Amino acid sequence: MRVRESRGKEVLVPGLLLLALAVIGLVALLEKGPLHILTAPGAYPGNNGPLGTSILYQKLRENYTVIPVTSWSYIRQTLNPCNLSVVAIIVSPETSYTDEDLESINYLKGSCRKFSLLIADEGVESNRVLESIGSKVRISGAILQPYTLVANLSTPWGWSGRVLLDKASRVNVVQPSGDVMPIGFVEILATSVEVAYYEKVNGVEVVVVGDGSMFLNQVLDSNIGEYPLSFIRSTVSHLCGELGNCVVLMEASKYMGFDPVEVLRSGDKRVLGLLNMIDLVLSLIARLVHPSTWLPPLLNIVNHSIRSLIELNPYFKGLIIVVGAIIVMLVVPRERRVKDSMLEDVAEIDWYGFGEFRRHLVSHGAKLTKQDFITLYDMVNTILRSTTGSTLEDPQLPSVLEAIGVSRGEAEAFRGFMVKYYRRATGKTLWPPLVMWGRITRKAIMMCEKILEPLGASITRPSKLELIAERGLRSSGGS
Amino acid sequence: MEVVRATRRLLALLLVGGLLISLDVVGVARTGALGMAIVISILALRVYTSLAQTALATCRVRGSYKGFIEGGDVDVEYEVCNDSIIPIAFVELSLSYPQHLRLSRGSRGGLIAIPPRGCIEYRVSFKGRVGLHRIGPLRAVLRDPLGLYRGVELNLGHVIEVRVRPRVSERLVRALLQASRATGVSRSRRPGEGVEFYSVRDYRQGDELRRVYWKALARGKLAVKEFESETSAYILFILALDETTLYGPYLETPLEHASRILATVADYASRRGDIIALLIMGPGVLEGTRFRRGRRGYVEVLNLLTSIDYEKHVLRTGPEAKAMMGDGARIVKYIKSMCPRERINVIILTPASEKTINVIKNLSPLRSMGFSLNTFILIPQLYGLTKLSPFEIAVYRLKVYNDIKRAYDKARELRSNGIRTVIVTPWETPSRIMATLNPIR
Repeated sequence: MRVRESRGKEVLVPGLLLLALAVIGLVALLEKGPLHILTAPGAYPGNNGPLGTSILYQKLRENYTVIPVTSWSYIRQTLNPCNLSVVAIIVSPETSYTDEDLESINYLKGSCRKFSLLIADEGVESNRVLESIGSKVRISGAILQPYTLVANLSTPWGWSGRVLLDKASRVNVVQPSGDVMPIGFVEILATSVEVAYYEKVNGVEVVVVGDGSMFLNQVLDSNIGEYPLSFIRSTVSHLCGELGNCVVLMEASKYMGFDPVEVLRSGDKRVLGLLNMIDLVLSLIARLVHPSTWLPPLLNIVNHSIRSLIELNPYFKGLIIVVGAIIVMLVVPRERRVKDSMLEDVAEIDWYGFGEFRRHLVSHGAKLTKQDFITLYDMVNTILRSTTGSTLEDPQLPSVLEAIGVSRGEAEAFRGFMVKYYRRATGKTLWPPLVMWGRITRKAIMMCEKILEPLGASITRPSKLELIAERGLRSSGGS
Repeated sequence: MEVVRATRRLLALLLVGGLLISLDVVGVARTGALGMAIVISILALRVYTSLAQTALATCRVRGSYKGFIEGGDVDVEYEVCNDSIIPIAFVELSLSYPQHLRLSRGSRGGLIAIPPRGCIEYRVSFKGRVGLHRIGPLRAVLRDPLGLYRGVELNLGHVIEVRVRPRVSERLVRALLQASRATGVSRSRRPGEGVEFYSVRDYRQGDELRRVYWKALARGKLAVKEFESETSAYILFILALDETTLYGPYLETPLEHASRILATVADYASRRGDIIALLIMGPGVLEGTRFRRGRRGYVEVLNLLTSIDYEKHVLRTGPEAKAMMGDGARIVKYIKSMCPRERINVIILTPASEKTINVIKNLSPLRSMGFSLNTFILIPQLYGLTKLSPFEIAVYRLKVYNDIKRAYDKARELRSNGIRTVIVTPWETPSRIMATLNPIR
């Protein structure tokens, strides 16, 4: 497709349209309101602050396919069919699990080839997940004193060692059975307190640790992070099994988000200290660029300025009209005005050898002249010569025509009429002095038609007339 | 270049809007809101027209056609689909097609609106006439609902090349085949497969029983009848073209008449097993098919007839066209190059025009190679007789008689050059041509 009448460079999208689209876009952005950029300071895999789990995410990615779960229902759709071994890691969630989330987790549990759960939480939000899959283990949520404790961990898959816990919770068993076994203790006042359990419930392996701190960046990035990381790797490796095709799901949907600008505005130094500086700067830039920040104040300033100018001096109204007129005069001539005419349709035509004459003949009739009479005489003479061997000049013609069925009177009248007016037309005689050649030729046509009919020719019908005439001309040896 | 232009209505409306605003600003009347509404409406329509024009320019357009037989309906259809979310209103459409075609159904233009994510179909029908015709594209001009803006003219879709083949008279072909069997027109003077009795000879092993000559058997001699083998002739059809071949009413021009005759005669010849080829020569064309036996030859003849392009081949003018028709030696050379042997029957159909007759006169050297040249002259002036009243026919005949006599002179010229020449009128049928041709086969 191309633009017709193009001259020079073709422009399919004019500047005015682009400007209009830009204005529409600005208004639409304005209507949507300011940007709400949220950043989660908790144990969120996208948080690379001290309380985030981005290092854990990176370390696991070295060996497994790791998917941060921003929506459990979306994961349920994505991993369908789920012919995989799936390990879900939940670290210190901050918000509650909904029924839909739990349903999705249970769906994965039932549909995947192997489903395992690693929960590290000092709060009680994870208990709903444990409850929904039928686990007998619960996290008490009561933080043990002192905050810093050393836990002895010893797992059935052979990993044992000591890790440092920070604000850990006791892990309880609601209904003791053979499927549940403690794998981690802390010593508080010579009393052993369980802080980690391993459980196998309906084929689902569950590892629960009463503290999420050893999964955090601040631990894994420090010189004491070696043991926790070794424990996590060993645990994930065990939970994945030897089936291959293991996918690790890291909880990323149950953390509270903060708008960095709002935090900055509130001046809450505690939260501010948890935020990532890059996130903060980017969100500030985005907020400043957004038209909701600058467009309403700008329009307000323009409006106030014009109003104050008008109030200052009444003649300013006239100035506005003059400026408006100048703008119109500048803008309107740029618009190339065209005459709005209809598209020209195709004019269908027929070509004819005597096209103009034929059209005139059909619409207005034709004026017959002396020359036409001479032509008629010539044509009929040729046909008579071709068919009867006689011509109009031949006195025997009436007898010849009588022999082929034309009445003698008619034949004589025909010959007399044609010869008389032919002599007049060719100037051999001046009698009759006044001749209306149109009427005479018409009459001659009618007479000729009657005479030619018995000869198998016709001048008023499409017939072999021209062939007969050609034969006549050929036999006479000339045209 | 702007894709949308303002019409003259815009300035008037803009001035009214400006006047209303001015009246309000100076405090004469409270018409500012109305003025602003007018100005904003104008701007909104400008934006809308530009968007709609862009949407129109990016519309998906698909063109197709059905029908390829002369005299039958050729249905042309364009589907215009607007994939954007912008309604396109209003678009003036006009279909481009050659002036020599005539619509039998549908309108050659119209005003349409294309809904967003919707399609419209535009259909027209033509009475098919022989040759190659280029139909389309659709020309389109967009206007806003108030007619303040007009988009530049766009071409929607591509040009559709419609090929229409001549109608063959099956009745005539059968009649010709019947007549040729009855008269045994293709005698070879050799025994073989055929219908004509040739001789009686002694029976040989393997002869069909139905060929046994019972009269001889009655005399105690086992003999069989032999039939004369039919010949197959080499026939070259030549169709000479110039602008006069388009004279006459729609579907009744010398070109169409000649094409019909050629198609019918080619069909007949192909069924007889003749080896045929067609050469078309005109102001813009010198093109021939290869000599082929039977149906292959017939199909190639039909294909060449359907490729006649009125604009390029027939109506072309200028020095090149003149040279093409004036270069007799080149045409003779071309004919020699396409003929696999000497002694070929050549059937020429030509209008009685100075240009084409002169070309045919130049073909007389072919006679020295044993070519049999047979020319059929069509008189274009006579094609104007159809669709006239009886009296108009008589008057028309008187006016064109001298021209027709000149055509007779042309025929005489050709005859004097040793080329068999027959005048053909619009009422001739191929049977007359075959009557001339059969004795030479």
